[in-house]
Amino acid sequence: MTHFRIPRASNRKRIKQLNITSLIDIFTILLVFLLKNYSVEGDIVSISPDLNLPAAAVEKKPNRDFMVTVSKAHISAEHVHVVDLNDVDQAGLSIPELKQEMVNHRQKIEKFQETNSSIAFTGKVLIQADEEIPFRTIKQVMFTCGESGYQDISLVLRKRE
Amino acid sequence: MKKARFVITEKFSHSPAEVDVTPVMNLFCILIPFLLLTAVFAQTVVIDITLPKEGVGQPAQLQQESLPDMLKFVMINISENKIQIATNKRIYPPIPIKDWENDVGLSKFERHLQDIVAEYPKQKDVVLISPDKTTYATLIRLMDICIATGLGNISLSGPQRGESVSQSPPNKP
Repeated sequence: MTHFRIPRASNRKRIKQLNITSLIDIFTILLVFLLKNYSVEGDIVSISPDLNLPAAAVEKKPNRDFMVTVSKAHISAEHVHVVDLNDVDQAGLSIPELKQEMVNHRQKIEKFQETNSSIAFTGKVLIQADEEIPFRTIKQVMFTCGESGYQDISLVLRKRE
Repeated sequence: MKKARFVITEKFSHSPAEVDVTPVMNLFCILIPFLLLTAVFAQTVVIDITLPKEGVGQPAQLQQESLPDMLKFVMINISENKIQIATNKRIYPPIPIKDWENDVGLSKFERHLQDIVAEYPKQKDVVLISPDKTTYATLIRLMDICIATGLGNISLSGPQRGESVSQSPPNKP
């Protein structure tokens, strides 16, 4: 049979006077740290989980534009799978599947532009690529962007602290 | 003259002054989960690249007229086992890739570029010639050092075909 001990008056008094000074210390340090690292702007660009972006010490922040992602396995446009890297023709510079996707996106915007003057095709594209991707593939993606009319390319990188 | 009398009651004399921390704890309990949920620990930045308008072809830097306080070209040539900086005035000693992996090669490379910028402060253009196998991380590392030293107008080039793309200056609006 289990016995429950009724705490004595002195024990009850001790529990009432719980010392939370150290807890407040931890909270204060945590709060200062979080407030220091808090970014008001948030993160406009969502990084694919399978990517390991290279780091750079530049300061310029990205804008929300058309996104081309080059992971170790495939190329995607606006987070939609376009082509596997194994299927990319290594002989030429252009990637037809990516070009088709980008031209379609450009035509859509140009169609909207006819009815709504506030929407304009800017030719800006963001490229996020894994740090182990060879220069050859990056060059092919850049060439395809140029071919599709996207002349202003921004390479998305992780900020080096 | 009437003297002021101070009476210390028993209550004040025996119990220590206690601050009620309940509101502070409430504030902490709301603020900390909110900040933890909305925290962005990995921030993203961009390097801008502008493709040449006339299509791919000869690097624009090689075609420009030479100015008295500028070099005709600054080239960073990456090969399988070394990285070498060359200008139309001087060829710098190559930095072996094995040195490049550590800070020795990195600081050598940075020092060479700083020498160029110190001698030719108006020089902004640099051509990065890389083989196809070079990883994206290496290229970004080199571009980052070039931008940090003031050579912000970077062109990427392949050694065999000669395709090139240019990086716009970082202060371009």
